[in-house]
Amino acid sequence: MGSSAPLRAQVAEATGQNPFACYQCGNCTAGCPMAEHGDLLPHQVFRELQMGSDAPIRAMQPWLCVGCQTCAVRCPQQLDLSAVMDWLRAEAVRRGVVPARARRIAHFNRIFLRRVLAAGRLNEMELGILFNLATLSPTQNAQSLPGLIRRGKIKLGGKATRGPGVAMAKGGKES
Amino acid sequence: MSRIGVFVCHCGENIGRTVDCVRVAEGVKHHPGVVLATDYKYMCSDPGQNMIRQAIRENRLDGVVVAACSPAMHEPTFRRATAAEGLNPFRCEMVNVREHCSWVHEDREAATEKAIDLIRMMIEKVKRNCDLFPIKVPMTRRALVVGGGIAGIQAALDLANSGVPVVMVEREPSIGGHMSQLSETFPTLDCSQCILTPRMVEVAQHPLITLHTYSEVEEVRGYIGNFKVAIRKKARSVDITKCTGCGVCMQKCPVKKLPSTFDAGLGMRPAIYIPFPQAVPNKPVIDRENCTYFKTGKCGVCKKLCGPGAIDYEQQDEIVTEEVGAIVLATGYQLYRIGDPEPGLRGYPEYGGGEIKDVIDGLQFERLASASGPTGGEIRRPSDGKIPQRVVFLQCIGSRDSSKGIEYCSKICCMYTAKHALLYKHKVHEGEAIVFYMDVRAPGKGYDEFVRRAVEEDEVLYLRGRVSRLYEDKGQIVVSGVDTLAGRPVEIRADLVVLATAIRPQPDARQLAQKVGVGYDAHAFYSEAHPKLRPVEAAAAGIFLAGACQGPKDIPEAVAQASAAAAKCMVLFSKEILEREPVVAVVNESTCAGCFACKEVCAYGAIEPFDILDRKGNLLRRVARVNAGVCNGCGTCQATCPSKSIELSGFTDEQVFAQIAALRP
Amino acid sequence: MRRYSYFPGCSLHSTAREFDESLRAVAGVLGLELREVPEWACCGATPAHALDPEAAAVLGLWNLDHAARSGSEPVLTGCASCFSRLRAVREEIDAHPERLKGARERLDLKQDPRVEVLHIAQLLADEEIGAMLSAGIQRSLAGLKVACYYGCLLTRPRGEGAVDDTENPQILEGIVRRIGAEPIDWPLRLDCCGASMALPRPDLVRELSGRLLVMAHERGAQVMMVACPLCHSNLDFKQNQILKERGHSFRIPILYLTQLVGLALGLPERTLGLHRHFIPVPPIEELIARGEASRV
Repeated sequence: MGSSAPLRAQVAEATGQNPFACYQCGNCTAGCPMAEHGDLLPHQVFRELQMGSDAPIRAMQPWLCVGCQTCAVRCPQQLDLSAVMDWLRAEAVRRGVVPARARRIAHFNRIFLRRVLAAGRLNEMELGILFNLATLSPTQNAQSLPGLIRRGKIKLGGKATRGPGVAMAKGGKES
Repeated sequence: MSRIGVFVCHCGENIGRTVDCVRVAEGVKHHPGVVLATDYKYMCSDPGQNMIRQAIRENRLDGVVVAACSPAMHEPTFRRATAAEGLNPFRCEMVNVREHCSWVHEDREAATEKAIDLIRMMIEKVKRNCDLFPIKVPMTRRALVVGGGIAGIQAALDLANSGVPVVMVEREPSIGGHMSQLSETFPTLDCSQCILTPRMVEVAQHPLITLHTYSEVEEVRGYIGNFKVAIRKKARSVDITKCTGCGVCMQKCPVKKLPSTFDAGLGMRPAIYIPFPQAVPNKPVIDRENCTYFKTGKCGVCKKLCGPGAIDYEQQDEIVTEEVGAIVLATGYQLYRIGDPEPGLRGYPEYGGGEIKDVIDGLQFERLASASGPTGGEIRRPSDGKIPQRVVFLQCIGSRDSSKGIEYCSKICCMYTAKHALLYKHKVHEGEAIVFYMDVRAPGKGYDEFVRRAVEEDEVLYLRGRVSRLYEDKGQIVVSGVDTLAGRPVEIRADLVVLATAIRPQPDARQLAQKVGVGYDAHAFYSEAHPKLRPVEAAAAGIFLAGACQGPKDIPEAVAQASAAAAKCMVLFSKEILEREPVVAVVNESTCAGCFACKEVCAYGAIEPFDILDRKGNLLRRVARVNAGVCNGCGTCQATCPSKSIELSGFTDEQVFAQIAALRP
Repeated sequence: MRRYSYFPGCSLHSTAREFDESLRAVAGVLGLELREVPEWACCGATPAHALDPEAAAVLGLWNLDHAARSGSEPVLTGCASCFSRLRAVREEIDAHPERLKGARERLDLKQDPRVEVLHIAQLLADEEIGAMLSAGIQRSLAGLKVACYYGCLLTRPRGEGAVDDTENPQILEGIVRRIGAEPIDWPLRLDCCGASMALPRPDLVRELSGRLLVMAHERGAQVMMVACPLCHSNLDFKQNQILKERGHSFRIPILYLTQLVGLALGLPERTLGLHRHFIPVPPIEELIARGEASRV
């Protein structure tokens, strides 16, 4: 399905979730730990899709989703909104329409995935430094470093597993 | 050579859209034995029927094939038209080219060819049809009503008042059903007991009504007009002919703290009890599972104190058999339970799974609001007896929730929730009532006005949205919900939460349906014969449906359906003799070897042994014979008979094989 | 002797070292042989499946395949997030193998690895291992009030491979009872701690985790038991800041389930990595005394 199809149809195709099955009871919103912090309530994501709008792709809400799946396990219509949120995020990146407020989170995800594919394993220290550089705030969270080091929780270097990164580089697909 | 007429119906666009009816008529016109083939827009209409009648007259037809909708719909129509011209109606047959063809196919070409094939097959069958004549069976003018709730009571009284004797079976110790538990009824707020109890008394005193309480249907045999019903009268341990209902036994019973079913678990009762003061019959029953005497053999207080000597520990279950001509099922409903759902349904652990004391269901709220209830009509919450200052009502609990296994709307909850909120506000003026709803469905007479009254006059706050979770905190219940209209999640601390839980069929609805022989849907609500035109009849002849056993219903609807079911019984009983379709098995006694394999497989007990005697009365042979009144024409015996000595009239082997042979290779 | 392919995951090699240490120590006492999955890679966690489902599938298949290569033993995880991701890919193999086509080709896999994926909680709740655990108890934690915290990923999604019921799990409570301690009844045990928002939106984590800590305290929790490194980090590492902001003086030690079980089994505190916590865990004698005191 091309990107000219309405967002609703793309969501249905990619995630198997039919936005029209949502009857707007709001149970997803009622249980969502992040509901109040975004710009679109979880149930409104489905509403916008029903209306034929592509607002969800530019919305902040998917970026706040932590994937706890409370929405999915309590949806009376058995819709998996968390899967839709995942797809919306990935699609926003593909289209280059990540909302400004979500850039920190998008950066974090991108750096995370890049490091994982480069080294196979994640070095949390490295992740923190790269995240700080990317968000232009080099000292954030730095005050916690000594405590982490003292407790032996930060390791430098470490063993790498390159196989998955090599596999993902095949066919020139950029992640 | 046969003289068969073929009539192809377009059914408006229903058949014509996918099947080329003109070509179909053309395609069968030259089939051997066909003298006439034609098509028409609506065969079932007056002009359509006249067309058939005229053709029979003018072409001296001896067989009629109507290719149209389902015979379940219009076979009687066309057979009547056929009979009107003096042709035996069983020489008229229908081919279903709608459900079996046009509705299920898209390719017009292939569907048209299929229709032609189907009609050819039927032509070959009709060539071999013979004259058949209806079977006449006697009619027992007496009805059985299963269930003594408001629907059963209404049906029984209507029947008895029209002169039909009625046998009523009620499982509980008293009739009255759920309506007797209710406080006040929407939308008029009249007292439920005040309008119900006079009718309960009328049932008990009616000379034409035989009442079996604390009884269940054990077995149903027979057929329309001639049912034999075995009823298990469970042992009450009280001889109700001796008992005066004085109540001494109940006062003195040492076991006092058993949860009362009538009070929905909120009140207590002793081990020997009358469910409620207005019970009919007003005679107690011993709960043997919880009675000290039955558990340990010691106690016997009630027996010692009973003046008339009515207590009978030795009483046994008793089976009585009643003969009736029709059965009305009015078995009612139960409520879905969030902590203990039926198999196949999921509960609500996210609402505490039934463990939070101050989260109650609608029937429990009714008992709290009822003047005869455990709190004398004051709204006091179960945990500590305090008057709740904020009550939250949640609608659609279980209902419209496919993740819990119930996709349907329970229909009555919008109204009773509005009533509950309003009653609460009337009783606790300074209290706050909040209703979480998804839609308000109030389409009855005066219903929406009632809901508006709760909102506008009694200031019940309606909050659109569902609730994700309930939990107890510091003596209150935290309600995590959403207000989709204001567009934000809400967290409310409530003192009491009332759940409008789904209406479910009785737990043993399936077992009873199988005993009686009625169909039911995926949830075990009983199926009506036609959703629009036969809403109170079961598909099985002589069985009628009333009340919530057929689907969620409020009181006026249940009463209307009950009266309709009673009227249907009266229609049936208006005839002295019942005519049945002659599609029954017939034994060829000259070839029957008397092995009785047919008797083994007959589900209806229609096969009986018959002795062929010589003139002196000596037994020559014993053969099988079919009781045409009992046979349902299922054909199992025909398939089983090793010597091919049983044939189903209208569906003989010859006819069926001719149909198959007519299919082009 | 039971054998498992052990998948530690990134956190257990760094910020959650004590989970790894205590898990290995407890396994040793219970006679469970752990062989680390050779060349394991990150499970991908939330960012991978959020950004690039194919990358998530590649990581999952890679890990399951490497586990399967060394034998057919079940894959054992400690981290709830790794468990959830590996389980998701494992279930996809059975339910929608066609969706893994791209990942399978990228890895040149001939067949899908059909190894079982387990979480350490499932082992500790297992009847046979549980009996060994009961037999091995050295110290009584009787009366110690434990808030079992599941977070979101341990019981979700619903389905065959889930450790327990999604809405009313009892598996952690069962483990706590088995070691003689007392699980408290508290309503937020399935609520989110803020999870991976720790770096990008620490404010949200402070709010959500703060609610959990306050409620657990109000319900009398003396320690909280977790099964997820991210939960631990949000509740332990950030606890001082969270509670200071809210003006609370109490603190609740946050223990991994293997640490609490290890204490009951008599393992030394250092072996269990208790010294690595930000909220100090009182010495075992003190915990025992607190338990004793709360029984009266």
